[in-house]
Formats: sequence, C-alpha cells, structure tokens
Amino acid sequence: MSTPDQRLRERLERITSPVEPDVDRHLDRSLTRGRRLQIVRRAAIATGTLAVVILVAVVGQRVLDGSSDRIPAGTPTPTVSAPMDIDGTWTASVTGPDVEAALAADGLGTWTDQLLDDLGGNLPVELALTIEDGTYAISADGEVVKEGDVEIRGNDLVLSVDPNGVTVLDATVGADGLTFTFVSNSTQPYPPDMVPEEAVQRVLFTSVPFERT
Amino acid sequence: MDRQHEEYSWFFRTEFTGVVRTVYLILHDRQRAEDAAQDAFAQLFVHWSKVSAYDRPDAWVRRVAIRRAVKMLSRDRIRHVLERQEERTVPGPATIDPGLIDALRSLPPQQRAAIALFYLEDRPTSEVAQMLGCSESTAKVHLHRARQRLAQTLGKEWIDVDA
Repeated sequence: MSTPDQRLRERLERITSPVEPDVDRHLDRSLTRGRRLQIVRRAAIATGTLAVVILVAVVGQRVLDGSSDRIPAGTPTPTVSAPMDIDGTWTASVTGPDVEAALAADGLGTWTDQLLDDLGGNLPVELALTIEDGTYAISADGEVVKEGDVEIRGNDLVLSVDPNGVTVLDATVGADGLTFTFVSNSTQPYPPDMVPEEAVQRVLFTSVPFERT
Repeated sequence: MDRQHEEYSWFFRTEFTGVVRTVYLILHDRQRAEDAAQDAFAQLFVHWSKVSAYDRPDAWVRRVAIRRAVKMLSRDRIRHVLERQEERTVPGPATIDPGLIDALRSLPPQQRAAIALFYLEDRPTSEVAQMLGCSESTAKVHLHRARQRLAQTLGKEWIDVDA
C-alpha cells in the first residue's frame, strides 16, 4: 500500500480504536436473541410440516374411503410440491413498457413516471436477484436497491423490505424461469408524494420473469 | 454449554469488536453500529451450524452487518431528504479527527463501506465485492470514486487517488 494510503489507514484506525463495545453484554444478548430466532424459525418449519402431514392424511383418508367420497372429475387435486430450489442468482432485463404494464395492471399507473425517473431513465435496467442463506439482495444495474432476510413458506417468499414491513410474493419456477406474483406488502404507508413500496416491489419482482445465471 | 455454543461464543469474542468498528465507519454512530453488529451476530447464531463450516465465517457476518448498516443509512438519507434535515448521529467516544469523519460522511453508503473494508480491514477488492454483494469491478468503482472524493476534501497527501 502506498504511503498516502497508509496514512489514511492510520487515521481510520485512530478513529475506530476507542470504539470498545461491551462484548460480554452483547454476547449474552446475541445468544438470547439467536435462540429466540431459532425457535421462531423451527416453529415456522414445524407449522409447514404439520400442514403437509394434515394434507396427506386428508387425501389418504379420501382414497381409503373409496367411491363414497370420490373427488368429481375435473376438480383440481391438491398437490404437495417439493421445496423450491430457489437459492442462487437470477437476472432479468426490465424495459419501460414492462414497468408501465406492471403498474397499470394494479392501478398504480400514476407512479410510472416517477419510478422511471428513479431508474435514471436508463432502460432497459438489468436486475440481479441473489437468494442465499436466508437473505436476498436485488440490484438494478449493479446497485443494490433492496436486501434483507427471506423466508420460503410453501410457494411464497416472504421478504423483509425494511424494519417495519415484509413483502409476500408467490414464486413459481418453470420453463420461463422464476416468476413472482405479488401477494401483499405490510410496509407502513409512505408520505403521499413518495412512490409506495408496493409499486417498487411490483416493478422489481413481478414485471418480468427471472432467469437463473 | 454445548460445543457449538462454545465455538460461537469464541468466534463472537474474536470478531464482534472488529465488526462494530467497521460498521462505525459507515454509520458514525456507535450505538447504531453496535445494533447492526448485534443483528448480524444473532442471524449468525441461527445459521451457525452451516456458516461455521465455511472457509470464512467472519466474511459472512461482516456482509450481513454491512448490508444492515448500508440499509439503515439509505433509509436515513431518504428520511432526511423528506424532512430536509441534516444527518444526525450519536458520535463515538470522542470527536477524533472530525475532518476525516466529515469527509467520510460525504460519501454514499456503499463507498463508505468500501473504504472501511479496504483500508481499515485491509481486504482485497475481491472480498470487498463479496461483502458488498456486487461484482469486483463495481467494488473498484466504489473505491475509486470514494478516493477521488476524499482526496478533494482531505488533499492528495492523505490518499492515493491512482491506487
């Protein structure tokens, strides 16, 4: 490292060296919070497993009951899908018409111009979605725009978008790639002149299918 | 305490302070830096059996902490713009080198993080990229722009713009 850089490094060390957190206190807190998170996670997994067991039991009982309770022809049969293999990096290219279509379909068309401005008028924008280890990050032209924790519940992806909200998307992996359908968003309402979180999420996730890279 | 908890506790004691210091360079707020690091280590606890088998579990927890810090800062900036306020922080133990703090504060969140990882933690650009969740070329752009801006504020005797 060159001399000026070494000097900068020393200045940074001087700024940070007095920062001495109480490690023991934080360790206790971390263990407590970590255990609580583990319990919540296990409960979510157990709930999902229980739902599958009940579904299998109900369907099995119907089969054992025979013709008295036969499912009429043409009725969709409940299926239990395998866990989605969704971890990895997915990319998509979003054009102006994609943005307009994604917003217009859901009555959010008034935000189209502002969102196009936020994207820098630089269309198409290249999206990259990375999902791994229970976290996600989505970038637009290399700049991370949303990131946080992600939880897979059946076919739904539950994304934390900020501390006061989550977005739920229905995910399908098929021949077209990874397709999301917007289900809900619980973010606190934004000020009236700001683009609502739902509009941002719809453009980022639902406007076009993602391809695995 | 079982073996996993012992290993986690040892790792925590080894790494926590370093993570807080790095995040402090991004947030310039000691309390929030500790909160972001705390969040990251709580997540690490949940995934410890898997992450501890990685070559660099320290990289994993830094990545989570830095992402949380960058997210906090981005959210703050939106709020400050909306409320037309200056960035408010609770500074560290003393206002050491306020010139450098002000210069860092002028940088966007990703550039602050790149500077902290590259200079304070002495990490190569490949690891900086990994922790920022971007390509190595993007990380180099963040670093280059950060250096340029710091050189404008601090003077070229403090930073090598062409490094």
